[in-house]
Amino acid sequence: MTIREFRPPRWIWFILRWFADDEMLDSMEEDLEARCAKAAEKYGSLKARILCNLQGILLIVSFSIESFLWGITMFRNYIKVAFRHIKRRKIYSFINILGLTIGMACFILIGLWVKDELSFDRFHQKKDRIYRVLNRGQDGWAGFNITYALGPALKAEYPEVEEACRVCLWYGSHVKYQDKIYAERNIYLSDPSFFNIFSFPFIRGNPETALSDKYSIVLTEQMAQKYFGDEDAIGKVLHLALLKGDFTVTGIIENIPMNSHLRFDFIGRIEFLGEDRLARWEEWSGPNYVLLQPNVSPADFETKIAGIYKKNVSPEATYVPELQPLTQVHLYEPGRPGQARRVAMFSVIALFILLMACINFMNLATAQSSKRSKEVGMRKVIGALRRQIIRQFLGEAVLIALFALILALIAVEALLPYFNQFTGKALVLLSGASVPLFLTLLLVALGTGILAGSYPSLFLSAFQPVQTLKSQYSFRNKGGGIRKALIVIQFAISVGLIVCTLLVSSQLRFIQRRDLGLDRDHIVSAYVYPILNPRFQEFKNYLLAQQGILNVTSAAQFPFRVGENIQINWEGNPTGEMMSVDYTCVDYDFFRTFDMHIIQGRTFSREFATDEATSCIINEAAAQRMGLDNPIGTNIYMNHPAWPESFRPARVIGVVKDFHSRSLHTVIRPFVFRMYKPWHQYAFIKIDGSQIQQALAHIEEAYKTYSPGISFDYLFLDEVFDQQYTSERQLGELFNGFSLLSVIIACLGLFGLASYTTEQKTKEIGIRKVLGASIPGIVAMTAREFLKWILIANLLAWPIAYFVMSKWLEDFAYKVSIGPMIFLMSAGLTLIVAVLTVSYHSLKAALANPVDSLRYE
Amino acid sequence: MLSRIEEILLLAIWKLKDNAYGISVREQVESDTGVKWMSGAIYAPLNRLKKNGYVRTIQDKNSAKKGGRPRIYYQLTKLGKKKLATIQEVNQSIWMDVPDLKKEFKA
Repeated sequence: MTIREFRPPRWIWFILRWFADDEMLDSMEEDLEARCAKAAEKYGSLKARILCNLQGILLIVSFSIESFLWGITMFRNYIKVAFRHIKRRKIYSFINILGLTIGMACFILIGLWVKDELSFDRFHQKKDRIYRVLNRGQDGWAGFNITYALGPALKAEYPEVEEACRVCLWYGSHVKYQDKIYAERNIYLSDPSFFNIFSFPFIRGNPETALSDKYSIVLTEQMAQKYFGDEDAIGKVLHLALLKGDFTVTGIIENIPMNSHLRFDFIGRIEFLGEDRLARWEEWSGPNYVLLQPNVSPADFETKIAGIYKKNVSPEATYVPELQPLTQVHLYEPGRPGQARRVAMFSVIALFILLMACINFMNLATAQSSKRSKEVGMRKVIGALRRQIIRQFLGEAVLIALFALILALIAVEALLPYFNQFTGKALVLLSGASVPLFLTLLLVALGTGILAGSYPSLFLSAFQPVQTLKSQYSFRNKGGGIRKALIVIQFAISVGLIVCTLLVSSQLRFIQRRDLGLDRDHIVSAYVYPILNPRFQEFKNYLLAQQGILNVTSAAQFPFRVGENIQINWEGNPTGEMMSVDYTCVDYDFFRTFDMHIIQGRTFSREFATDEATSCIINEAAAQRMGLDNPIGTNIYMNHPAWPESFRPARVIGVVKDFHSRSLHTVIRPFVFRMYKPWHQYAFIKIDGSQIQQALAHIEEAYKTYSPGISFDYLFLDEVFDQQYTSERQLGELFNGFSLLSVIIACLGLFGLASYTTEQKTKEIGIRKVLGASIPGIVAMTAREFLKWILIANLLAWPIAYFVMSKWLEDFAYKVSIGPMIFLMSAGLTLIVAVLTVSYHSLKAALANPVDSLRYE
Repeated sequence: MLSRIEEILLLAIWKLKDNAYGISVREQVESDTGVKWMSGAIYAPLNRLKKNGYVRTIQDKNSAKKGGRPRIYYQLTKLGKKKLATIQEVNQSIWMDVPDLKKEFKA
């Protein structure tokens, strides 16, 4: 038997090939063969063969154990050093981790919010083919309340349209089932195709046929529960008071998700609006949705239908239909501008806050470089490569970022209920956890760690080992420039956010305090139509006799939430061109109740029997547009086929001072009031602010007497008014919160950096004190440098904040001007906070005994 | 960072000059340390040194080994030499002024 037969097992080379290259394998093979040969000389063939194989296996085992142990050792060493470092520099680590936690928590919160905003209406299966039709005017103005004749016309005339439906966001009605009566405000009317276009999941019933009968109605799970409890709702009959009809429940859908712009409790057929109203091209009634065939380009289709109004309305029609993708409806709602801008704004803020936390990390890590330079030097001496050091510091940053992520997740989970309550959303984090979410979060932590650790690791790993090990080596000025630049960026972000906060809140104050031309305090509104309406005068007389009731009136709409739009002409109109006005019907005492001033003529009065039928009151804007100095006595013609009262001309008997009938986003429009009582839907009752409870009790009593069996639901008018600005108020408060957080993060960074620089200056301060410097002088000296940066930050931030905020204010027709005060205030605020932050350390240093300071080091 | 065995390997390769190949390096390490080493414990760090650029390999075509393939020789690179010099410097400075500890601890 020759030596060659004692070869080590062949398969080990396949494994070792993973770790070593061919040359290394050759070396090992030679070595192993030599060992085998030795064994063969010494022992018998069997024992030698076993030994030889054993050697091969041992080679693999020892090779992999060695590699593994080495990896572990290094990794454990990194982690150990990182933790030692965290423990030793408690304040710095605290600042870093706290800053990163706040930053990440903000980022996650805003991220969830933005994700939800972007997810609106995306649950519909055909979302990519559904469009809402807007009317776009020549001057860029757009609206979604368009004619109900359009939808059916598009479906009938164009093969590109698979389905079309009209949706009426109806006023509401009392709904009755056996002895249960509730006032419902959230009833939609639509076409049978509604459920073919939109995918609201059905619990019971068939979406294809649910609305095929005129007297069918579909309701949400929640409503089914409210009216029918645990009974099966399908086939049950609901009575809708306003339509005076009985409706059979044909379907129950799941409760509407929060991220749907269509929100309804009940949905029935749109035919109840009246055939003539639905067929009229001249009227602007409500939204139309179309479902295009697959592969139809919306842009081509838009050009194809561009002339539809010229053909059907009049050749002079200047507006054209425009297709708005369903997924953009929420973000680009005409009349409620700025949602997309708001989403963008908050995304930027989230990134900024995270960036600030990263900057803190970079600053503190590089500022402390002298503390760690010896470690870097030592590692390099015993053979660390630069990339290993970079890896170590990056790893350390990622470790801290992961730690911060865990804390941030806990914080967000704890804060979410409040955040949801505040934003009116139903966001979830951990309970809605999915793999992509966690991957994203992990990526965020990793990204944050790498971003925060990149500069320090490059900076620290560049040290020359020999120099760092000599103790005299000074780092005082190393990286100082970049640190200063980073601090400036940080404060510029804070200043920008503060400016925005101040401006948003002053605009909100402006809205709150602006004289709207009508009083909205202590006015209770309640639904009257239709049971109470015929007996309204009795109801009113009864109430006026009670304590705490000051005035009672009724109207078709809330005076600042008027939806009706009508074209009018008037006697002596020089051009003959119709004018579009807002229009509503009111009762006697309306203007007195709302404290609206009649500046010309008189108000509606019982002394004039003709007032109810043929009188009207216009606002200043209308008088101005009509070009009349004294409009009293002028006849106005409306002729709206759906409104019986408009067949008779109305004579102007008074002019009311301008008031804001819409939100302050839009300018005051011409307005016409008439008295036609059958349209009245709401009672408005002015009560004495000092006896609210008694007054409410009286009203409820009156309700029970005059409309028995109907629950008394009321709203305070000022609350309804404030709802118009909910999103602005949320914006304001979120801005408050986030700018506060950004200032906190920036100050944490400043605090850390100030403590470091004063520490560096310990000796200098000692010497200055020995030479007779005063304490205020020393504090001023250390603070001066920081203040300079903060001033620079202010100068940088102002123009950017000015630009952003003037964009935001563009959405308001009535707005505050951006004065210098806001900028000076933000500068003052940042300076004060910075001085307080910095002076803690400088005072400590200045007060210290110079003997100790000089002994330091 | 270099581990102790990597340091010893660098030194062994330097000592062997032109005669540093797998077996000779292992034997040198064994005679330097006075212990037997498992092959993996030698070749894994050697592989690392090569990857990190402290050591390079040379194929000597003249001294073909038994299988017919050329034997692989190891040499220090410039970086390896520099590292070895630094290690010596640090070790000497660490041990400087330290008396013979065997005698010290006996006394």
